[in-house]
Amino acid sequence: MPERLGRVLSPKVKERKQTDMLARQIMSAMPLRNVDLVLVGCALFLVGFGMLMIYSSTRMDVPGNPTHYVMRQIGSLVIGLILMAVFMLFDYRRLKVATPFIYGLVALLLIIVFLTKEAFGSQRWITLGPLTIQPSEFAKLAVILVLANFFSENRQEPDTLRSFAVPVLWTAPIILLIFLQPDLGTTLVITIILLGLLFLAGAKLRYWSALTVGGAACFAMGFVFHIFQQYQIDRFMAFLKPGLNPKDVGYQLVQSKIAVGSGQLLGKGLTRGTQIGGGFVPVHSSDFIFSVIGEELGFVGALILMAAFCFLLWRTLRIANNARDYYGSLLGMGIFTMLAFQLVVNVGMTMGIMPITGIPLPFISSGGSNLMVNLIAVGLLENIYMRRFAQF
Amino acid sequence: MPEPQMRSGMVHRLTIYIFFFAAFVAVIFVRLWFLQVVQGPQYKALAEGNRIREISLEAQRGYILDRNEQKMVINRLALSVFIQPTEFDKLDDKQAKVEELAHLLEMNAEDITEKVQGADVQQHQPILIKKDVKPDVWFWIAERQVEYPWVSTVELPVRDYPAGEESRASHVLGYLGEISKSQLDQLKSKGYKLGDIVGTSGVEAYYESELRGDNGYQSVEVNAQGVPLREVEKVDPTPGHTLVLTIDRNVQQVAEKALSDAMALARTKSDTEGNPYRASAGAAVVLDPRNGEVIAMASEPSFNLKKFVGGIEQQEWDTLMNPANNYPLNNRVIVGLYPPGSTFKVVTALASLGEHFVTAGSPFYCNGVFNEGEFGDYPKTCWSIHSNIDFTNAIIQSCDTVFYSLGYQFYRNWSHVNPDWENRLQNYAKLLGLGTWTGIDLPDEQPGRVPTPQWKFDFNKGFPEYQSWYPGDTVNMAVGQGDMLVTPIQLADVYAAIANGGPFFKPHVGKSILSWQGDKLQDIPIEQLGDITNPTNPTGLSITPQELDVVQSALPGVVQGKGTAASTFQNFPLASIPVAGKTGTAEVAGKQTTAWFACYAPAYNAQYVVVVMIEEGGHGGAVAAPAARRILEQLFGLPATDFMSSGGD
Repeated sequence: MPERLGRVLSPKVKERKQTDMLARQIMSAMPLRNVDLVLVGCALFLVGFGMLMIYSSTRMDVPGNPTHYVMRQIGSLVIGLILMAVFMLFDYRRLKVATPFIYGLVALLLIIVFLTKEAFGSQRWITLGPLTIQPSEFAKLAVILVLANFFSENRQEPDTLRSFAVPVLWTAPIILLIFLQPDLGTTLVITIILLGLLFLAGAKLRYWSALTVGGAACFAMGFVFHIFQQYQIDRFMAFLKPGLNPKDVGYQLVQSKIAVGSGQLLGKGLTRGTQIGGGFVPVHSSDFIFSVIGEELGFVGALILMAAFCFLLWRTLRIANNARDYYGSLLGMGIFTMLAFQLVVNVGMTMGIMPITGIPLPFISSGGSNLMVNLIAVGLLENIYMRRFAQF
Repeated sequence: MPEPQMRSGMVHRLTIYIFFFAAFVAVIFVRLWFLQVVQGPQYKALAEGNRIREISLEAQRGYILDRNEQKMVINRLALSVFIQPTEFDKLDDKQAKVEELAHLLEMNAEDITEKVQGADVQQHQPILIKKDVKPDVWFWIAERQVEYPWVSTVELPVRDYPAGEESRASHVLGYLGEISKSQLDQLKSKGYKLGDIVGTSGVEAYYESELRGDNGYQSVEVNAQGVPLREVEKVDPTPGHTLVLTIDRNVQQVAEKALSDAMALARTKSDTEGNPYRASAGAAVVLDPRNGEVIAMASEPSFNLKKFVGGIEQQEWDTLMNPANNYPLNNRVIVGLYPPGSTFKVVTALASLGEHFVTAGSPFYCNGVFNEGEFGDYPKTCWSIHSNIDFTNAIIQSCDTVFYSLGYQFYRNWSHVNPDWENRLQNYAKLLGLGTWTGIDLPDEQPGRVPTPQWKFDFNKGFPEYQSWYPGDTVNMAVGQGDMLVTPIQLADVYAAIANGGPFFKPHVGKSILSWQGDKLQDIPIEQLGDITNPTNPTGLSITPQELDVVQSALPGVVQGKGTAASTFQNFPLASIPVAGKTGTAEVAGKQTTAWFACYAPAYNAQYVVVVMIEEGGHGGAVAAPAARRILEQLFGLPATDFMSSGGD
C-alpha cells in the first residue's frame, strides 16, 4: 500500500484502506467519470472573473472596440480549453517519455527568442500568424515536468549530491535564457519551482540552503555589477522605498495602493474605478489586475477572489495528495508551487508587500500564453486526479 | 506496483511548505483588511484628489465708482500663462522646454527659470509666468494643451483702471496683493485661504469684504494625463458689491495736478540759506465739512496702480520701497505726521477765547521778539514785526508774538494759579479731534500727537534732562510747533469744525454700497465726531458760538489785504465766493519748513474744506495756498486765473 503525501492532510488513511481497494478497481476503468469538477469549475470561475475585470479595465483602451482585449482573451481561452482537454486524454505517465522532447522544444524556442532579441531588442514573444507565444510561460511547465520526472526516478536517494545537482543543472539553462530576455518575473517563478520541488523531494538541507543563499547572493551581485536592467533595479528600490521616486516605478506602486485602498469594503462598482479609468494604474489588465479588483469590487470582491484561489489551491494539494504515484504528486506540487507563488507575489506587489516583478495573476491577468499554461496545468491536475485509482 | 514508504522527513517538509504558503496568504488578508477597511477612507481621499481637479472660479471683484458713479476701478481678464510645478517636474528636458516657452512669450529663459525655481514655489500652486500675453500666442498655447500639459492658460481677472488714470487716487483706491499672515488670521473664518489676492491698501483693503464676491468652483474629473473627462459640479461665482466713493474724479484730478504743480513751484524758491526747497512730498485733501465726505485726497509722491495688477514685479516693488524715493505708497493725508505750524493758531485762538484771555479787539504789540518772563533770557522771534495789532489781525497776519503770549498765559495759569490746568490747551486741541484717529475708512491712519507733560515724561524715560515740561513747550505748542504732530486729515477736520460752527464729522471716502447689478444696498453712515460748541462736551470744555465767530470772522482776512495768503488769492472772486483760510510754515528739525494752507469756502456757508501740505516746501502762503486756490477754482467751476505767488508764514 502506498503511503501518500496526504497523511498530513487526511490522517484517517487506515479506515479508507478497505474501500479504496474495491473502489480503485471500479473507478480505474472509467477515468473520465473521475474528473474533479470542483477544480475545473474553480478555474473557469477565475477565468470568467478575469474576463470581467479585463473588460472593465480595458474597455476604453481601444477606441470604438471596448471588447478588444476580452475577445483576445476568449480566443486564448478556447485554445487553452482544447489544450486542457488534450492533456486530460492520455495517461500523464506517458509524459515521462515526452519530457526530454518538451524540454528540448522549450529550450529551442527560448534560444530563438534570445537570438531574435539581438535583432529586435527586448522581446519575449514568438509570433505565429495570429498567435503570439511566450515560450517562458511554457518553460514553467517544462521545468515542472523535468523535475517531477527526475525526482520520481531518484526517489531512493534524494539527498545525494547527484540528486541535487542534476535537477539544478537541467533547470539552469532555462533560467539563464529567461533571465537574459530579460524576464525577471518568470525567472523567479522557475527558480522557486526548482527550490520548492528540491525541498519537497528531500534534497539535503545543506545543499538546498547553499543554493538558496547562493541564489540570493547572485541576485545581490546582479545589483552590484549592474547585470540587472535599470528598470528592474528601479522596481526593486521602489518596493523598498516607494516614496523615493514617485514619478516612475514608485508612482505605479503608490497609485496601485491608492486603487486597492480606495475600493474600501464594497468597491466602487464594476467599470467605476477612477484609478483605472483615469489611467493612474499602469498595465492594469495584466500585472496590476488585482488593483482593478480591489478598487472596483472592494475588500469583499478581493476576498471572494482569494477564497476561490485558496479553494483551487486546496484542490491542487488534494490531487497531489491522492495521486496514484510519486510522479503525480510531484507534478501536482510543482503546479501548486507555480500557482501559489504567482498568486502571492502578484497580489502582494499591488499592495506593496512584494517587489514589482512583472508576474501575472494566474487565470485572471490578460495574456494568452499564461492562460493557456494555467489551463494545461489544470488539465494535468485532472489527468492525475482521474487516474488516481489506476493500477499499474 | 507498490511504491516505497515515504520518508517522514518529506511529510514534515510538506507541512512546512504549506504553512509557509498559508502564512503568506494570511499576510495578504491582513494587508487587504488594513488597506481597504482601516485605511480605506484615506486612500479614497487620495483617489479623489487624483481624479478630481477643483478649479476655483474667481468672483469678479466689485467696481469702485466716484461720487458721480464714474468708473474708477473695474475689472478685465488678463490672458495669462502659468506653469504647473507638478507637471513641470515630470519633464525630462526642462531647459529646452523653458526656452521654447520663453521664445513663444518673448521672454528670457532665465527669467522663467528663476520664477519656476523660486523659494516660495508650492507644488500645487501654478506659477504666474506672464500676464497680458499676446492673444494669438495665448490661444496658440491654449489650443495645444495636450502638448503643453505643464503650461496652463488662464484668463486671470485683474483690476483695470480707465486709460491714463492708473495713478489717479492711487492712495485712496489702493492695490491688491497676496493675503498677509495677519490678514489671514483675521479673515480665515470668512473662507480666505493662503495665496488669496486681497485688498492690501486703500479702500480695496478697507472695503475688502464688500468688494470681494463669493468664489464659485468647478470640479472636473481628469485622467492620469490631466486631461479633463467631465464636469462633476459647478457653482457659479457671485460678483462683489460696487463701492461708490465720495471722491469726485474731476476734483481729484485737479487736486493731484495742483499738488504736484505746487511742489514744482516750491522747488523754484529758495530758503533763507539760499538752497532751493526740496518739496519732496505733499498732500492735499478736500473735505465736505457738512458730512465728512472726502471729495479729493492726493498724496505725493504717488504710484501707478497698474504696476500692481496681477502681482507687482520685484524690481518695481523695490523701487517703491527705496527710502530714496520718499515712500510713494504712503498716503500722507492720513499717515503723514507733521507739526501744524501756524495753522494750529486757530486752536490756540479758540482756547484763548474760550478762557476769556482775549476778545476780537484785544490789543497786542509785536516788536518781532517775545521776551516775557522766563523768555527774557531766551527770547522767541516772530516771523515779522506787527507793531500794534489786535487779536483778529493777529490771526490774519499770523503774529507769533501774540500767540506766544497766549500760550505763556496758559502755562502761567497752570504754574501759578490753577494746578488743574496742566493739559488745558491740549484739551482744546483734543476737543477739535487732534491727537486721536479720525476713524476715516482707510487703513493705517495715524493718531497724531498732542504733547502733554505726562507724555513728555513717559516719552523721554531714561533721559531725565528731557523729561520736564518747560514754559517753552506750551509756548511752542501755541504756534503749532514743538512736539505737536497732526495729519492733514485731522487738520481738515479742525477747519471743518470752525466752518460748521461747532460740529465736525468722521471723514470718509466710502459713500454707498451697491449690489453688482447696481441696486443700492447701504449708505455709509455719516458720523459726528464732536461739537466744540456743545457745553456738555466730555472734556468739560466748549466754545460759545460768539467766541467761535471771532475766528470765523478773522479767517477770510487771511486771503485778502494784509493776510498771509492775500497775494495768492488775487483775482479770485472773493466777493461771491469768500474763502476763509490759514497759512502755516512749520519748522522741522533738520529739514526745510513744511508749508501748510488750510481753508474752507464759501466762508459762513462752507461746502468745502481744503488742506494742502508740502514737506520742505517753504512758506504756506506762497506754496501751499496756490494749490488750494486751483482746487477751489475747480470746485466752484471757475477758470484757473493767474496770481502772484508770494506771501508770508
